[in-house]
Amino acid sequence: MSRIKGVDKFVVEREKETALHLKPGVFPLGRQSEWAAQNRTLTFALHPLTAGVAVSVAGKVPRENISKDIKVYAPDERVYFCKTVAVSDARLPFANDTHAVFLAMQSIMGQDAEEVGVEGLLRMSALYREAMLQQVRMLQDGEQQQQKESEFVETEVEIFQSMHAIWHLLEIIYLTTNLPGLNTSVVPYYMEWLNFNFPAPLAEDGQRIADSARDADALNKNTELWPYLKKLALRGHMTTLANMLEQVAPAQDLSAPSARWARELARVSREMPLGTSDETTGSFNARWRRWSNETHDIATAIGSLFSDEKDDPPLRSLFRIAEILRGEVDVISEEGELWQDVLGAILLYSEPTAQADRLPTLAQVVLEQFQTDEFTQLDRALVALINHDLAEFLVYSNQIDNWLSAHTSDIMDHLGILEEWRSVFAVDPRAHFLHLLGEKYLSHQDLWHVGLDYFGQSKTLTGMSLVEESIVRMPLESDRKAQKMLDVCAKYGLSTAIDRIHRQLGRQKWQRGRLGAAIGHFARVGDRNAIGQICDQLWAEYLKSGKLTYGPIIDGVMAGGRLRHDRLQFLTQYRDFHESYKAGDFIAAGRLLLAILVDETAPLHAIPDLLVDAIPLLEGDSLVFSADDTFELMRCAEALTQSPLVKKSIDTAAADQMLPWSEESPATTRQDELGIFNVACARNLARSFVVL
Amino acid sequence: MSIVTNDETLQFDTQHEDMIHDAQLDYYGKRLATCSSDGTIHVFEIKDNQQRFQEALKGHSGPVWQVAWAHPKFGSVLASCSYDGTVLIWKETAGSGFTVIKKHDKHQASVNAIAWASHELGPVLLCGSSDGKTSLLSFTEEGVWDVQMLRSAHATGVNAVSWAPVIATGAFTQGGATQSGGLVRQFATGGCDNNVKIWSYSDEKKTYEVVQTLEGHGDWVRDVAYAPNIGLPRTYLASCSQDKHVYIWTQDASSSDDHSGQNHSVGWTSRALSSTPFSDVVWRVSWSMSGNVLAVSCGDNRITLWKENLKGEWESISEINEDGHKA
Repeated sequence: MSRIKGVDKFVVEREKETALHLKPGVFPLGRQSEWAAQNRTLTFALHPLTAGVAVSVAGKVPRENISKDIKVYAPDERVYFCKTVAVSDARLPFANDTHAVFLAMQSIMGQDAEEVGVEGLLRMSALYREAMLQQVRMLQDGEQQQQKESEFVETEVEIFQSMHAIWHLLEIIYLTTNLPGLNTSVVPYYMEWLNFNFPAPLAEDGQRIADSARDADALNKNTELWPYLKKLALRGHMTTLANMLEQVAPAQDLSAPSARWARELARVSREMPLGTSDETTGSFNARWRRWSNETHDIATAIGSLFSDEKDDPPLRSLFRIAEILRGEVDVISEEGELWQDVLGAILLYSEPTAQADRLPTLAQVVLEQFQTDEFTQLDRALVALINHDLAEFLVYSNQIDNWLSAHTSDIMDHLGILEEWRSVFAVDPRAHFLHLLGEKYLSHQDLWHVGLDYFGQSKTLTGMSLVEESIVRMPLESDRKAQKMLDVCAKYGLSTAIDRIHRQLGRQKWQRGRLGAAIGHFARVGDRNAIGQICDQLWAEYLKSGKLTYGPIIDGVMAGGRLRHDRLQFLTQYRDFHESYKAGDFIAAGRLLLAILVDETAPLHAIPDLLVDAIPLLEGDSLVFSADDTFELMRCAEALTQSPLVKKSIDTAAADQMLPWSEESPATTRQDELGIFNVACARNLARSFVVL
Repeated sequence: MSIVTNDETLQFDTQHEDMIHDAQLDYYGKRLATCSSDGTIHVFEIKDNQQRFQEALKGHSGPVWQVAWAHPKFGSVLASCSYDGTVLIWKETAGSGFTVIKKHDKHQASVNAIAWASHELGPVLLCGSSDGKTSLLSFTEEGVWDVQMLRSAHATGVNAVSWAPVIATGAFTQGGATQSGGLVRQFATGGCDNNVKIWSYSDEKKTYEVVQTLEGHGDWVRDVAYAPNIGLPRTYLASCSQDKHVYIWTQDASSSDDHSGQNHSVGWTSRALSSTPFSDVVWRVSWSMSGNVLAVSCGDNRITLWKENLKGEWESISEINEDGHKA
């Protein structure tokens, strides 16, 4: 018996390590040694967020330490920005769809895992599979539309078909056949899995054979027929097998025994027992034994004809088909191309009611017939899955695609089967693979939030650190994105990151002149200093222009009523004073001005301006300030001249040209104004006493 | 090995007039600073696969060996060190660009390496020089720069410096991990004596001292780099050397009843990154922000990225190389 090679249609020949080649190169081909000897090597800078690397030629030692003959060329000063990991745009829909399922799974399982149970996980598992199939359809439709083959599409289709095959088998072994209350045989599910993921024989083969068969004779003459029929038998396609046997039976050049046994096998194929939900295992087994005995008898009868008849190829094929149907392992092993075929046929024809726990033992028997050292990553992952070797399974899954290792480890964790394997690894495998996937998605500008969720949902300190370290480095390109980032921070309780983002937004808006919005952000983090500086800026702008335009900004900021800041209160009061004065309500204006001074909400550098503002009210026709009010004003002026800090503040303000109308000797002008103020106070005092 | 060409990779000329020695991206990855033997530093803005030359900084009188961006909380600040023995600290102001705010000229030979401390420690710059000394520039609360020269640790020259993560390993689960009392004040240096030295701050002596010497390299240590602390229970330190080896030094978290925040010398274990030596001198090692990928540049014009796999072994996951172009 020949050793069968495990040739798999879905070969995923993707090496684990990728290489990036700089283009155009930095030195002529074949002259690397010379290049390197001339003080050159490559240096790099890793991008903090994406999987990007800035690469450049670097001098190993300074110019002073090398020969002056060494020249510098244009490529020596070039910088390349390379991406070592890239997520194709074609994967965006898949990434987003499965991300939604992933989040839902974490949420649902986090709330009440017992309530969700295997049924719930099975439903979500089916969503994952549908997403994979949808991705394959989309890729193939796209290729068709472009009317040309694409290596990228072919590779991607292979990857997703492999992932689907693995995921589907995982679902069968751990979910479908573990639904509570059911004593379910794995066999029908395995055959469904086999025929869906590794279809054989191909439908187009059957169509080609059917198209070429005008009649039974033409059919019999088709050299593809009998291999095709054997494949149908292997895969349990009994109806099609029966139909074709009945079609070929009347062929003129078919021997009489062949014709007879073709019809018999067609009948037996149609009569193969199928389990029903309302039939007991015992009843089914009884039917199966009768059928199996019959196929055994048919095989024996056909086999006995060989010594008596001439070589009859159709008869030999019918014998092989009969042997397959009776579950003859050697024949099945010889006829099966894939180990999956062989395992399926053995299950179907020898142990039709086998449970999932029979798979490892039977697989072991099958695999002895194959050269497993030639297995692909897909083969190894499937075998590891069947053998419940989760460590090996995860490693091979990751080599196929990181999406697969991340999500299989996640669902296994929810099933509670990963726990016993954690000690095999140096790190938590679920977290490890989720972080890997998160890093990959982080490198794509439209998947940053997806990447962050994979970090955060690993439920580890490392994951949280990664969310925080990543999000504070993200560019705040728009208010919408900033809000999304804040939402992510809130979701994971990252108060420090929220603080930093608000500060960054505050600075950004400040630079862009959106002062109200800036204050709002600084208020969220309690940065009173920054708010004070912005208020000083608003005051300075008012002094410079002479027009009080900051009113709407302040109103917007104070609208919530929760923000309390001396500077804001000062600006609000001053605005109200300004409006009262403009409206001619001098009594109210005076009262507001006095309140500002008494409440001490004004910054020191603004006090002289306030005192100067009091002058027209002191000198006005009607008495605005009482004697007590006037004494209060004078007290403020006294404090102004006595306090070194206030004096310094005046000098500083003057030096900073906060009094632009005083081009020369601003300090002197200020003193003159204070002098006028003092005289006005004295006159007002006198008036107030007379009125009294 | 699958080869991916980088036809759509951003690439541009830095307009330096001599060899580049260092290139560093800022905290957000939005700006790139390059420095050269032409004595200048060039700053570029990088956005959406496009670059814009921003400014050329001229201030050194010799080749500029390294540049380092400070944490953005301190503003737009960049440090540079030079073969001329000086360190310059540049600050960007609106309308004026980058101007020198501090010149440190206390070293007697080339300053080969600089590194900013974690922002929790304030604006502190560590420098290593061919005169064998390390120094610390600290911007004090009084608004002045304080310079502290540390006693020689690598007699024949310091080639590399790196700060340890400021939060002690294992401290994430302890309260007050980020309060100043619990911060780790530690750094590593690599030198021409083939050693890596671990320095730690002594509260008693009010200075940094060598607390451990890591021996293993057979030639000059060219670079050292602590991995960022992302919640793992151990500290990782990478070192590379002219002996063509890269070592990963690991130290487990200190005992749980120690709340000082300091990583005591409970012992470092080393492991060679690769079972076989690299084919040439290894010049640089650098960790990704996530602390789980180590980039290594080797004199055979390859940059390799390494990651710890499930079994705790380091494996190469990616490579950037140059095989030459057809003339």
